[in-house]
Amino acid sequence: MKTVSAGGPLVISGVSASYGRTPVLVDLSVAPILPGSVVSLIGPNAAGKTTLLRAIAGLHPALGSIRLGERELLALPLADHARLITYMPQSLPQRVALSVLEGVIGALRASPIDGPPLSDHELLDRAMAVIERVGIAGLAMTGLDHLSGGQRQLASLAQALVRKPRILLLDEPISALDLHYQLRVMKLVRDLAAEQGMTVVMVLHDLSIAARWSDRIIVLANGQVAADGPPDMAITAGILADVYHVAGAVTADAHGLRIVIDDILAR
Amino acid sequence: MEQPLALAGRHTTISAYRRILRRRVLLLALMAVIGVVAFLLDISTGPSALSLAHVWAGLFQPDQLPAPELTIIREVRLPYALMAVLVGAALSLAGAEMQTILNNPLASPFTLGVSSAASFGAALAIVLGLSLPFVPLDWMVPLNAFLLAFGSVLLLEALARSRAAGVEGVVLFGIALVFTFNALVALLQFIASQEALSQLVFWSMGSLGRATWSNLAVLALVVAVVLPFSLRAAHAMTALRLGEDRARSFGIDVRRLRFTSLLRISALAATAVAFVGTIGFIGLVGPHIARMLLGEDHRFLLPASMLTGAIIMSMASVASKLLVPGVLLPVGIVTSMIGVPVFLALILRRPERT
Repeated sequence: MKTVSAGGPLVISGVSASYGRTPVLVDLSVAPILPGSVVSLIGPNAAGKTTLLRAIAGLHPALGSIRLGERELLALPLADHARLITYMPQSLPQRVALSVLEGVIGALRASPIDGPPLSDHELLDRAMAVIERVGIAGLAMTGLDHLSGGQRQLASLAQALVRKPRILLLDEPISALDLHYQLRVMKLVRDLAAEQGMTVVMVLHDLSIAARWSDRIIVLANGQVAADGPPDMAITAGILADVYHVAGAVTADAHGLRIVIDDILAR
Repeated sequence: MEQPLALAGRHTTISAYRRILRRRVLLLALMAVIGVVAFLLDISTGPSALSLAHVWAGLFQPDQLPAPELTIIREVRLPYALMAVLVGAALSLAGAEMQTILNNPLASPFTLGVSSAASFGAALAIVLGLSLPFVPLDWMVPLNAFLLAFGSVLLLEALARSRAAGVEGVVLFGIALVFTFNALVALLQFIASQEALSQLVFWSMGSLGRATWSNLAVLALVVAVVLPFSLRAAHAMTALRLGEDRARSFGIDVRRLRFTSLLRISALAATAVAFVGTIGFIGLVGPHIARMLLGEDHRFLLPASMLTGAIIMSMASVASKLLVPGVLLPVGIVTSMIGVPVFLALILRRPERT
C-alpha cells in the first residue's frame, strides 16, 4: 500500500487563478498554516474564497506554489491529492438515490485512501463511526433525496471526514444548519484537528462563529489577503469598514470577540 | 469514548445494510428469471402459436419436435428473441451510464439524438456503399454508425460541461440533433437507389425483423467487451453521483471517466441501432425502473438496467406480435407507446426542493 509522506505546514505563495478572463486570485501569499490548526477564510462574496479552497484541492488550475511540507501540490496528480486533501463543496446534489451510509461508503471506495486497505467490515465500521460523530446515525439508511438541506449538509460533511485527510477543506459547512448543529460541527472540527493533527481550512460567513472556533482567520478581499492572524487581530472595526463596508464595533472580553454591527456604509 | 449503546446501534445499521445488499442480489436473480420467462414467451408468440413446452423442446430436445416447428423456433423465433434481449440490454446499459455521466435523468441514446446520429451513419454506409479494406461488410454499417454516434456524444458532453446549458439545455440540444439527423436520413432516402431505399425505410421503424446470427454475434461481442469496463467503473460512477467536484476531490479522474463511458455508450447504441434501427425509450425507461428498484449503487444499477431493458424489450416484442392479430408491428412503435408517458412524467416531475 502506497502512503504519501507529507508532514509539515501548508504554504501558499504567489498563487494566481482566474475564471475565464476574470482574475479571481492575484499573486496571493499566506503565511504557513501549521498542521492541526483550524483556519477560517472570511470575506465578502466573490472575494475568491471558494477558488482558493478549490486550488488547494487541485480542482482549479492555479499559478504559483501551494506546498504541503516539501511537496508541491499544484504538480500532484489527482489521485495523490485525494490521499492528502479532501474538499467538501457547498452543495450536495439532491436527486440521488443513495442512502447516507452509501454516500459515505462511496467516498471511501472512490479511490485508495492513505493507510492499509480496509476489509469490508472495517470499511462499514469506519463509515458508521463518522456518521455517528456527525450526529445523523438515525438517518444512515435514509436516502439522500429524502433529507432536509441541513441534514444533507451533515451527510456531505460525513463523506468528507470519512477519508481522514491531512487537510480538510470545508466550503461553508454550516450554512444550512440550526444553532445546535452549527456548534456541534465546529466542536467536531476542532476535536478532529486536535486528535488527528488534521489541518482544517474552512469558508465561513458568520464572523462570530469564525472568531469563536478558529485559531486563525484569513480575510480575503478582491483575491488578496486583507488581514491574517488570530481572530482578535484579523477582525477589527477597520476591516469591517474596509472589506464589508459596514460600520461596527469589535470588543474583546473573557468570552472572546463581541462583534456588533451598526449600519451599512456607502461604498 | 464509544458508548455500548451506540455500538449496538451501529451493529443494527450495518446488519440492515447487509440485508439490503442481499436483497438486491436476490432481486437481480429474480429479474434474470423474469427475463428468461419473457424470452421464452417471445419465442412462443407469433403467427403460428407454439406452446412453451414446444419452445422448450425446440431449444433443448430438438429430436422430439417435427421439422417445420423446429425450423420456426431455431431459424426465425430464436434469433429474433435473442436480438430483443441483446438490444434491450445494450440500450438500457447505455442509458444508465449516460444519465450518470451527463447528470441528466432525461438522457438516453434515443432522447439525446445519439440513436439518430447512429442511424444516419448506418444509412450513409448503406447508400454510399462504404467499405474499408480488411473490414467485413457486416461490420461496416455498425462501424460508421459508431463514428457518428461518438461524434454526437462528444458534442453533448461538451455542452453538458459548459455551465451555460443546464439539464434542459442539453435535452433541447439533443432534440435538435434528432431533427438534424432525421432530416439527413430523409435526404439520403430521397437520393437512394430503390434497393437501398427499402433497406433504409426499416431504420425509421425500428424492427427486430433482420436479426441474423452474424448480427447477433457482433452485438453480443460488443456487449461482452463493454460490460467488464462498465462494471469496473461502477464505484467511480457511484461517487460521481455525489457531485463532480466532490468526486474529483475523492481522486476520480472525471474527465477520463466521462470519455471512456461515452466510448462505451457509443459502441452499445451504435451497434444496436445498426442492426435494428432506432428503437426508442428503452434506454430511458430501463434505467429508471432499475433505479427505483435498486437505488444508485452502480454495482447493482448497471446490471439491473441491462435486465430491465432486456425484459421490457422482450415484452414489447411479444406485444408487437399480439396487439394487431395477424400483423407484426415494428417493435419501436410499441416501445415508444411505453416510453413517451414515462418521458413526460419525468419532465413534469415536481421541481427540486432547495
